[in-house]
Amino acid sequence: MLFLAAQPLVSDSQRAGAAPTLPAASAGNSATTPSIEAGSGRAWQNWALNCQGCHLADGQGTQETGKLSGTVAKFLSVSGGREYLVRVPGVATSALPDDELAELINWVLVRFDKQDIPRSFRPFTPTEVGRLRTQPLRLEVGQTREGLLKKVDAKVSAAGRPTG
Amino acid sequence: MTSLDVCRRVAISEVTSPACHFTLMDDRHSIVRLLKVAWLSCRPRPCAKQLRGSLRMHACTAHLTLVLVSAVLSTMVEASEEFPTPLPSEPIPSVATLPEHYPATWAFLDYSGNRFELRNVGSDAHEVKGELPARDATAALLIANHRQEIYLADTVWSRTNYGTRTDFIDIYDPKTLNVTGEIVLPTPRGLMSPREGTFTFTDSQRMALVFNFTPASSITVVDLVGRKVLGKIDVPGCSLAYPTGERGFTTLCQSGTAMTVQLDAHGKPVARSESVVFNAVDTDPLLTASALIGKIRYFPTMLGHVRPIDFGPNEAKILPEWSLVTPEDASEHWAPGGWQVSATDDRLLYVLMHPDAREGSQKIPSPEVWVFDVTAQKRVARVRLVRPGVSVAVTPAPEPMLLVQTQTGLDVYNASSGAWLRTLALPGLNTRMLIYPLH
Repeated sequence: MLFLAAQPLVSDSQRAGAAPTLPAASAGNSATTPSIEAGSGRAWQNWALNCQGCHLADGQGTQETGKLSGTVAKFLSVSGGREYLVRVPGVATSALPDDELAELINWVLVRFDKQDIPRSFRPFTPTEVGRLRTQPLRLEVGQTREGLLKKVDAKVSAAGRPTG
Repeated sequence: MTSLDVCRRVAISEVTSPACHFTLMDDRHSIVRLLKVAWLSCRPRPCAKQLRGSLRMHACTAHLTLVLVSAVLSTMVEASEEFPTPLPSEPIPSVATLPEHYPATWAFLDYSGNRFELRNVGSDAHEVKGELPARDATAALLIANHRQEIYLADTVWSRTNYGTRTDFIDIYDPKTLNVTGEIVLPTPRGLMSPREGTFTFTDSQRMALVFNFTPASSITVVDLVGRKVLGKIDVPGCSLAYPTGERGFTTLCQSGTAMTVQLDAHGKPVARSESVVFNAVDTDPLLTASALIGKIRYFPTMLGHVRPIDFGPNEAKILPEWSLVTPEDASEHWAPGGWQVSATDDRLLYVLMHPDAREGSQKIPSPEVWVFDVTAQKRVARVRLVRPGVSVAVTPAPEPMLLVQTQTGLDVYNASSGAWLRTLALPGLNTRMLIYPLH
């Protein structure tokens, strides 16, 4: 996960309230310097091959597969949400190895919902993903998601901010 | 309704003549051809008595009246030359009913979106006994033997190919093929080519399970006795449903496991278990065209193994895999190929096999059917087909017939000897077929 070490997903400037600095799209992306834009890089390829069939190219998703765009990083702000993002079966039981899966989750968060990434966010590591994915959510997935989103709503209301 | 529509409805009811075939396959028509179809279809014949009489006869009557006005004489002459001794006339309408329990020589043939045709495959006379409509190519059939009902899960849109979508189960009386009820499904069904596991019984046929793919995976549980939907169970990351234990199902998961869910009397999940990883989904996956012998399903795999799974206990038991291909045959690269690639007579396993298997060849028609004794795990026969087969099924004992859908028809073999018996035309079949023998 070279890019994570070299270039924090959430920079100091974002912590100060400015726009986050993100890995830039550049010519000649290698597998380990992903672009957050669609169309290039290993993370995008993995997204296109494994995720976007159901979540759609723009992350809008469907009612039952869940909307990622403007939503997915909100899970990080409530307890259990970080674990949910790995244990949701489309992620946990995918054919991707742990390192590519961690890279992909980090990419999805930035690509589709960077404004909701908490300041304290630590990028997912292959070790963490490898541990969490051994316990995929099954029948309880819908209930878990609803519970987490309620917590998100409660938190947003408490903070007196409009919901995103 | 246009005269062509009338002709279609008549012709579809009993397709026996070349003229009917021609009309079904080709929209270009002439009054003479219409007349000929109407005449041939409406002539009283012994097998016509067994058809859904009223619709057919009303259509025939209306149509004949219409066309008699014009060119009837010449056609009558033509027809009388073809049939010099006409059969005696019979009163119309003539409505017949089917037997309560269909004979073992009958089978439903799924024309994938066209119709489900009930045929006597044991007869050379192209005996169509009835038909059920399929509105969508993904319609699926369930034939109860615990009660006098046939269930058909289907999907329509209010403007045929757009508009408000409705998913539903139609309930049919097997004697009259009349609809006796319907259950509307709140969750959209998974729309996929006809295959096993999309619509199945559990709880001794008191409940049905419908596989949904929205594209989130879930199972709708239906109370067939109360004719109502009991609920929906999410099975994320998993596909299809196989009845398991007393009241439950097993679904095959993307991770290569199988998850079994047990239900209470209200269709709510009460227990769940997940197997170890056994299905090599990326290298040698199970083909979801299995054969059920007793409580054990035999799933051929893409590379020519077979994986038995015992669905009798309340937790599906994954049994050891064995190979369909002996070391002697391995050099020819034999592997299963087709759509409905396996079948059983409740004792032996029949698998469509092709040589020179390669990436992607698991769906090509196969030239042979290999027959296995699943206890000895040995091949006991090898049927060299007269034409490559796409789908296979076997009718029940004591005189099982091997049914092989080819790209042009249905070849029927003596399942015990492998001898070819007959070829039946399948007019209107555009694609692979699912065959429902009446076990």
